[in-house]
Amino acid sequence: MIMSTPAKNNNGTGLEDVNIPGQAYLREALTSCTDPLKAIESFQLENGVLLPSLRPMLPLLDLHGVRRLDFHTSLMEELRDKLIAHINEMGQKEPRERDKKLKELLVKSFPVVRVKSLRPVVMAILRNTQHIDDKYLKILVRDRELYADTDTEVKRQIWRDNQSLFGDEVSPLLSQYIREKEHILFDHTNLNNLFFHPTPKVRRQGEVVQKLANMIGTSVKLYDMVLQFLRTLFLRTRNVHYCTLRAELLMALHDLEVQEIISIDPCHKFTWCLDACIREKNVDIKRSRELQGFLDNIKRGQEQVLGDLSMTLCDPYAINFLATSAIKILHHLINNEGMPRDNQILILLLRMLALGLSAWVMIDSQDFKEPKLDCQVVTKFLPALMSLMVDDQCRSLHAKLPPDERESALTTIEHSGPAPDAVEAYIQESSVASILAMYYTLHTARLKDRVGVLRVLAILSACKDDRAYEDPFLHSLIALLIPMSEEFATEDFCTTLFDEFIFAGLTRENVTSRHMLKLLWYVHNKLPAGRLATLMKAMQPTTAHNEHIHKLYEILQERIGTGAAETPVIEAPPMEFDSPLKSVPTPGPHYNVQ
Amino acid sequence: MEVEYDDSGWQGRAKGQTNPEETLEDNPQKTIQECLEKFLTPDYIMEPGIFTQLKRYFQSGGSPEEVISMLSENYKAVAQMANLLAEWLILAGVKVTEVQAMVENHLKEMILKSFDPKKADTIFTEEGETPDWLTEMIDHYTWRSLIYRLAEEYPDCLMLNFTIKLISDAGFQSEITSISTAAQQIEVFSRVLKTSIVKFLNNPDDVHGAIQECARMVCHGQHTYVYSQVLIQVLSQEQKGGFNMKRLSQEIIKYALQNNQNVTPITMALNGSAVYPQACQALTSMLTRNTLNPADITVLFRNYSGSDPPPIDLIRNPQFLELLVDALFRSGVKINPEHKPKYMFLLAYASAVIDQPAKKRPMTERMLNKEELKSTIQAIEKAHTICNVDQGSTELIAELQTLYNCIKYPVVGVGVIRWIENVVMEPSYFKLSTDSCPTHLAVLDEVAAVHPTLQQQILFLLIRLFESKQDELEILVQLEMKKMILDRMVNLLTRGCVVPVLRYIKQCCAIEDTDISLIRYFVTEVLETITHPYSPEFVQLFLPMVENEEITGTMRGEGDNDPVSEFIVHCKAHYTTV
Repeated sequence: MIMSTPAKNNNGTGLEDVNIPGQAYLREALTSCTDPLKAIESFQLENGVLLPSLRPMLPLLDLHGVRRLDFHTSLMEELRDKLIAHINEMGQKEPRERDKKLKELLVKSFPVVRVKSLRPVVMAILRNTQHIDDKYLKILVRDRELYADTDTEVKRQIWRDNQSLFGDEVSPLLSQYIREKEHILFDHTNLNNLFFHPTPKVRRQGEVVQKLANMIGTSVKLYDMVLQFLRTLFLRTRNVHYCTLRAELLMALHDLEVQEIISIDPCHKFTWCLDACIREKNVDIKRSRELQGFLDNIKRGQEQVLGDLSMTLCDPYAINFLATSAIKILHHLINNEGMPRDNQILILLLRMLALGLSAWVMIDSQDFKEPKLDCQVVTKFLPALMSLMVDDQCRSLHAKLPPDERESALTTIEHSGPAPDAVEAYIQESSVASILAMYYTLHTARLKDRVGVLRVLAILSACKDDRAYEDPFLHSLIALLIPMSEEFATEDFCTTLFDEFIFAGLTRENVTSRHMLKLLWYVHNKLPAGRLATLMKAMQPTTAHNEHIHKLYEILQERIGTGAAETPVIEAPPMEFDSPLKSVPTPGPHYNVQ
Repeated sequence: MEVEYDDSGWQGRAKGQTNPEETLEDNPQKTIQECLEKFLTPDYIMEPGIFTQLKRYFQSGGSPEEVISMLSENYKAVAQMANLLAEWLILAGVKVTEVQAMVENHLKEMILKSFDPKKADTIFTEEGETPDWLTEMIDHYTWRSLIYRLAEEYPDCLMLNFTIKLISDAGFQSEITSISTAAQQIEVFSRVLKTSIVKFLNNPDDVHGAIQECARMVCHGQHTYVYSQVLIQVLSQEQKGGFNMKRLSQEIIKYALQNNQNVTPITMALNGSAVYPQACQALTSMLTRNTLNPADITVLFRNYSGSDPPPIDLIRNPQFLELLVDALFRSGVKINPEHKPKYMFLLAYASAVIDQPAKKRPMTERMLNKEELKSTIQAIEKAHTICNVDQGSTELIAELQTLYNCIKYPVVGVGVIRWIENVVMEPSYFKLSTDSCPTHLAVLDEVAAVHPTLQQQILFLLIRLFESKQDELEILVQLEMKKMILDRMVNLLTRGCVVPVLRYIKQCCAIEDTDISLIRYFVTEVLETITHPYSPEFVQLFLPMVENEEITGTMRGEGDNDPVSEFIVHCKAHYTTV
């Protein structure tokens, strides 16, 4: 009998690489033998389970019709499970002795990594090996199937020196994250799970954040890679959700107590402190000093930290918190007849707002300097905004007093006019001023103060960089306007909202395709017929819009019960028409934003 | 390259003898197809059935090239993977024996899961002789234990029973701990029974344990009981050692009784009482119910006081004697005064009458020696009277001399122990006792002095007292009480019951339940009592206690002049091999 030289054969058992007779050997043995039955008997003896004590008992198993294959497979599986358990046990032990054994095992077993049945063992060894030799990692990378079977713990070691591979795995997760955020913002049927409802702790339990944290493990290098991905994508898309993800990821690692990373991320403590403020919707003196300390103590030569801090502050949830808190403080100042410039917390909030709102510019220009807060925002804009707020409060108070025609007329004249000129002037120049005006609008909408809403809404289109048309704000505004559905029947409300605010942003796709569509979904039956027809025509999707938008528009048309071909009768006076949807109740009157 | 092969190789020699009656398959193509389907399964090369299939295949005209291709291409080497994993387990630090055990246990579990008695029994219909693998199997403990386990679950399986017999024939019967297994076959059971009896005869140190083990096996089933008792009955007729077998038989009966098994009919059938139907019926009646009654007692009394009494062995039944002693010596048992003399007569008769076969006379004619019968009856009567009066210690002391005279009779000794046990195990006994040594326990000392054979019983009683809960007593009073009991044990030791007492105290040390001061007290008392020379057994048991620092550390003085040091020095000098 001539034994053939073991050769690497993709169609073999895969064990040839460790000198175990495979298919080629068997073929040769059967072909060249003189007595095939004896050859088979010999092969069985030499390649069966090598434990002599089994031999007397196997015939009893045969007697019961149990195939040798089933016994071998079952035995192999049990030994494999036990070996893996033992390897995992070793992984918990003293490094020196452990690493030596694991290395020996790896040398022995890696040649058969392509054998599917034995692969879990090799993967277990790799998973418990702290520093894997490059030669193994290269093989895992090259083979698509092996790579797919590799554990995350091992992949981390691959990714460290293979950024594009890591990027290929991270990229789908980032896309998923953005899709999930946008779904909440744009879903027209969603009136309950609003964007800002979940607490920070809840948000970072999300699947994507957790997966990213797991992929990073304790690797600083991988963490840095992810941060770089986020910066790059934010820079390219201006999408603020990447800022949110950065903050959530860092806090997820904080929750997991990954000291290797959080101890060296210069943003950790700042982000942690901010996270607590967002969670509690409050910033006290102590925390404000902490936050201010971080900003004031950035060392020379580490200015780029400011870029990351600005991204953290650019997070919509951070902006929401900062602006809401500022409005709250303004109310406090009004009640106590205080001056904005004297409130240190307010100054800090405005400072952080300025930093966050300049994140994109800073990263784009790589000029890491904290933007100077225009002092006139504090000395002129805020007083003007506060006077606006006082007007609204007076009007509200007056409504509770007994009727007095003369006094009523005077009050209406004095407290119902357009917003002060300074407000409009500054929102054109300052992003911080814009944000504050926007959030005051939300405040009045929450109070269902129609006059208050309209006074500011009339000028919001003038906000710097069109900030009033950003998704998080529109999402919140629409959600607050829908419960005021009765107001849509009045001409002045519609004029201000649509003609002076929404139409000014009509060229922006998100305004027409998403937010206005959602608004009409709920208030269309309140609108004057002519107004509704005009809006529907203005919103009509073009060939540039995706199929989803088209479908949604068609559904809305059916909901309204009017055809696009219908010609509006502009000259005719408004008259009541019988519509089957007119009596359908809407959630508006019962909806409570709080 | 075209493959060339020896044409005669594959279609030539067949394994095993050719069956001349075997005919070609009816449908060759179908056969080839069936075989090929088998050859296509993974690792078919490893299946034991491959030889049969190859034969069918080639006889049906199958192609060698095709089968080689199929077998080769479908070889996955699963078994070799298992070997590789085993090798890696060893490399990972698992012991070789442990890995081997994993593999063996896996096969074991597979067999347990798939075992079918009908399929196993096919070895008797399909093969002419005992398969070789069956014989080889019994050389491995792992497989033997598997057989035992299967036999437990499938008692009717012929193959398993046959294998058990092979195991027994090979000399491994001591492993057969399952009575169910052994009870299936008389040869196996006989060997296991023999092993058990030999153990009983060879283990004077643990007679009780050996008896329990043997009894448990014998009482497994009716058939095992009858078989065993008949065997033991025959053995008890031997001149040498026959009495040991009689004792064993009686202990087995006792065990059965404790387990609520009615073995009386079998006992009566074996003891030859059928010749005396009246006595037989009376005894059977009482033994079956495990209680005496005046009517049956009267029948026995009449028979044994008559001119042709039944054999004494009939009423030397431990169960019967136990009932008589209980009736006469346990306080509170009421017997009609008119019948009491009959109870006493029977107890005395069983104890004192000697039945000796006379020389040169026909076997049926026996000589009864009744010289001690009357005096024994009188002793029983006096003791009974004393024991059944509810007396305080003061009254009892007045009767002590009389009681001591009666105690000289062994049967009274047994009765007195029973009486005292009944009294002192009463929960309130020690609460009411104010003596440093209660009178009842003093009487026990006397019995121990007069009857060495009863010392073991007394020790058992003392142990029960020592270990009994006395929570109603104050803690210091409890300690004093235990010391008093230890004094009684020391007394037993001085009367010759040395090894059992020491063994018990040694056990107390090991369990660590006993207050160390009590052990110290015992050691002190013993050291004050004994002097050399000592037996090696004594030294082996006692020296470790004396050397124990916890026990005697505080008792050792300077200069080795104290009893502890003297004992240690003496033992070190004279028993170095211990």
